[in-house]
Amino acid sequence: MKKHYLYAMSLALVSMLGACSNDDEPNDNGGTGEPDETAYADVAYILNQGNMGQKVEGRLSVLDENRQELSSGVFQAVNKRSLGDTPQCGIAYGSKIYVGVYVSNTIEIIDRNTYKSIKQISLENSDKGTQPRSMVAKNGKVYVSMYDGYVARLDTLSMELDASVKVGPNPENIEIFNNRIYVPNSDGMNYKVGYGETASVVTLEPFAVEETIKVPLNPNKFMTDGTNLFLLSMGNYGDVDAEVYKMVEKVNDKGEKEIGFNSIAKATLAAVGAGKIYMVNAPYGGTVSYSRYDIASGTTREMKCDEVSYPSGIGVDAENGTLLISAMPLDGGYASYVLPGTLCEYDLNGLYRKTYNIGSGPAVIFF
Amino acid sequence: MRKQILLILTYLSVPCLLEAATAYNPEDSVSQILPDLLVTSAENSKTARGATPQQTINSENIKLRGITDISDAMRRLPGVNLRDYGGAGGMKTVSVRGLGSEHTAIVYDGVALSDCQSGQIDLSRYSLDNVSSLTLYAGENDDIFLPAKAAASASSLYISSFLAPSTSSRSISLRAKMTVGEWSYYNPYINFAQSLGNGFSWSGNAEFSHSKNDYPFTLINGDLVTRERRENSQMNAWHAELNGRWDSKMGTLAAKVYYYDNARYLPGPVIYYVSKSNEHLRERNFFGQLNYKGRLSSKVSLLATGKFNWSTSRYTDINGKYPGGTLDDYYIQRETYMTASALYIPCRGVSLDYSADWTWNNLSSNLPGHIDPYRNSLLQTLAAKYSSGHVTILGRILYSLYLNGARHGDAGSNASRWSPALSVSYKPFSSQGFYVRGSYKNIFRMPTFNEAYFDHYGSINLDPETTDQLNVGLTYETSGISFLDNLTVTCDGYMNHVRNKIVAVPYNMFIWTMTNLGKVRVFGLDVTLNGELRLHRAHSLLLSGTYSYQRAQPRTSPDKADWMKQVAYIPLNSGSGSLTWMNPWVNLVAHFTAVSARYTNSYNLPGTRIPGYADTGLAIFKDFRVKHTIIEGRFDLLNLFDKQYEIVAQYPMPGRSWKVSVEVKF
Repeated sequence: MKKHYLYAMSLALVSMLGACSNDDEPNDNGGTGEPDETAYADVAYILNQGNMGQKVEGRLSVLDENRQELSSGVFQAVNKRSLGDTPQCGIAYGSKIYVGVYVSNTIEIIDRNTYKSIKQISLENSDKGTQPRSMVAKNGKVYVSMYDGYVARLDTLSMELDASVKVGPNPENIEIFNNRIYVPNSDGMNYKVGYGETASVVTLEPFAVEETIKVPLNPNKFMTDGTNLFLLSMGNYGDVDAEVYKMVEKVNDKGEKEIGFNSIAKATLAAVGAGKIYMVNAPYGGTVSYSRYDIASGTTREMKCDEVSYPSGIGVDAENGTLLISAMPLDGGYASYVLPGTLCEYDLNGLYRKTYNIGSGPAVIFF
Repeated sequence: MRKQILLILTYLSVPCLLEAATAYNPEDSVSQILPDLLVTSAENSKTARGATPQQTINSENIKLRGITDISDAMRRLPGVNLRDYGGAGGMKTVSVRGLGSEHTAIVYDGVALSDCQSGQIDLSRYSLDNVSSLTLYAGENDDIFLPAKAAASASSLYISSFLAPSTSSRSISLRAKMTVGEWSYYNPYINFAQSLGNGFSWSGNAEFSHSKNDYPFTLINGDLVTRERRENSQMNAWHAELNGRWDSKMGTLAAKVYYYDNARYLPGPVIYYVSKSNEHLRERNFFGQLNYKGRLSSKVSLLATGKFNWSTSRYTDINGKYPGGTLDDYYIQRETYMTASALYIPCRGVSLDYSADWTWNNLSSNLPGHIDPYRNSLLQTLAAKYSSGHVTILGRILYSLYLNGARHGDAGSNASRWSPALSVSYKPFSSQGFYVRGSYKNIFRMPTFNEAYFDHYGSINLDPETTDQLNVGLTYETSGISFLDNLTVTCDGYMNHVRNKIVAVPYNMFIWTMTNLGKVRVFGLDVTLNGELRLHRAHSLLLSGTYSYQRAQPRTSPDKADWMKQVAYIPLNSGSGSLTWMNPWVNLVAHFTAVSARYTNSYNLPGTRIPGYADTGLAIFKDFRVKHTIIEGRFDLLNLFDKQYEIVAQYPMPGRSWKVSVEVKF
């Protein structure tokens, strides 16, 4: 419903409209607590992580709603300064874009129309967690997982971190499901001893850890279609493969209910949208394959994505009907983290549409 | 008796035990050694006469050329690429002629230093106060009476410290020096030496070095220009050595005990929007070595050395992301080394050497899953040298055997190789100091323990990285033409090849691994000039200059994006120069080093260019004599034009600063 609305309008007009509805964060959409997204063009945002050790800056790139033109480095162009080192996560919510920059340890709050930075929150001396890894939003709050073991809550009106909860070590990509935040505790910095096998479940009201559940080894990303919760766990890059799981309630031998995870398919990247899980499997030393899993029927279909050189990120936009897979170029048979990458566009059935050139290290896609 | 004098003269002139070994070669007559004894501004004569390229900077040159520290000394040598992470506490490594720094051996008082973990030696720990000479051999060393290990690297830097003197009479000498500089730098140094008679002598030195190292720099972030400081950059280092020696008719026995301890904070790279760093590194190194050299007969000489080395590094970082909130990586390396060489001189002009080395290295750590790798290295060389009035020919063949093992896991591949080297020097005119030289050397380096074993990164299937070096040079030296004194000019062109280059490649999004992938070809040119211009009886100008051209091309495959580009961090052009005005009042030196633009990667992407720079400095020095005491004062202005530059991306170098030192000698 939000798409096609502003098709013919110029960017200037878009910004004016954006400016008029600037106070649109919570409670202005019939009491649902969610901001009205219809005012914003259905663009895709891509974060290029860059490679700061080699002087390649991180970037925010934008693919327009018609899927015609890709604008690279919009943040730098508008703000005349760098987004920072290793942009790691982002979300477009209400009138703003929130970008977490992992190494620079900042959250940039960016105007959704003009790409002007409204506020830069430095996390360097934060007591609510540092080094952002992922973001979700609900009811006027943006929740940020922090690599030092916190989920922080950012109020979109005051633009301050107003609370945080301690979760497990090295949380990765969080998701909201049943009014709870599911936090994959990867324990990635402790890999020499072993990766993590837990997830923290955090209730939104009160903002607190409700329970810690056992999950498959090295949990990386929770995903939901609204009715189910899925988990991508990365395994140990050795004898335990990376797989996508579906969370189920099981009854154990004693007749008690407990949470379990049923494997769906082997995958190293995954995104949920349009009733499907889109998956990329690029196992340690193996060949890359692509598939989509239909959640309702439980069937998996292979996809051919030969246009993707080396997959580094995936995003699906049901409303616009696009599947985007970002890629690093292959150089001499190996992925290059320095050379500029590409963004490949497919329809929801995996039919190839287009390839865009994009900066180096494109790894994060959001809408 | 003559032997004895020769021996004494040699030790006086060239404190490095191994260089001293050249004295056993009858070709190196007393007359050739004497210029070293009388060194003022004269170059080491081997610079021009050597069959392979070699450059020496001795303690006198250090003063006369206004050299400020070891990294500055490295920049004054041709063909050398310095990696300097900035300031007093920043790590400094060197690579020579487009080959990686793991190919450069650092030889300290005759014994090659080793770091089996990284394969690189941090030169920042060697203070020039204790250096009597630095010699860089690009390629083969043209001496043959050396341990086998001396032939096992593509190039080598010999650092010689001040050792115990050898005089028949009792004597004692003392040297004390204090250096103070900007950003809370201070460095006291003391050295004593005593001859006890009967051929016994001993010496020792100790130094402490502190620097806050929080120098300012300008950070440019788009339109945002800010003045920042290097935070978390201080260091405290101390170092002490004790040397003993005993000269007798049987030969010379020399012993050394060394200890170094450095606790430093690491500022890390400059990252936008972040100023905090909690990284800390403590490094300690102890070694003891015993060296024997003696002449068994008029035809046979013997050299033997044993060494035990222990070094540790402890890296800590405080960050909530680590288990328990801190990272604490502790590594211990141990090395046992033994070498013996026999020199045989069957007839005048011909000498033969056989050397055998055994080294045992291991690496242990507190890290979970560490496999405790170790390596036994067996090296043998057979070398022959022929010298006549016009021609010097030197050939050497090295047989290496490397045996890898690990106490708790799979070890890397073993390796064995034959490595040949040949060098020739020809003097066409007997009345002119003009030389033509050519050399070839084939050598390889073993994978370091990091490359072979580092968790989620190393690969035990690596082959050695192989290099071939070809050099052709013209040199000229003269003790004087009209108003020019001691002129030495060298010009060497070279072509180097690297095969099976060890590089890191991503295995998937999360794991990198090491593989033998790259090929590199380097074309280069090194030119040096040293001379003295006599202006007046008490006035002279000393001139020293180097120029280097390095075209280092990745040649792995034409399909790769880096095909025939310039290898990362290697400048096309670099050079240095110094001009010294010696006069009765106060001596003055102006000097510079200049490096053209480099790229952070071998793709040469436009945004990844690091601009070139010229770093200029001024030094004044003066000696005073008060009775038996010599007082030497020196004042330095570094980076005179306050040029902001980087050698390593995101590691800014210090701007303009000053340094003062006072040295007292009894």
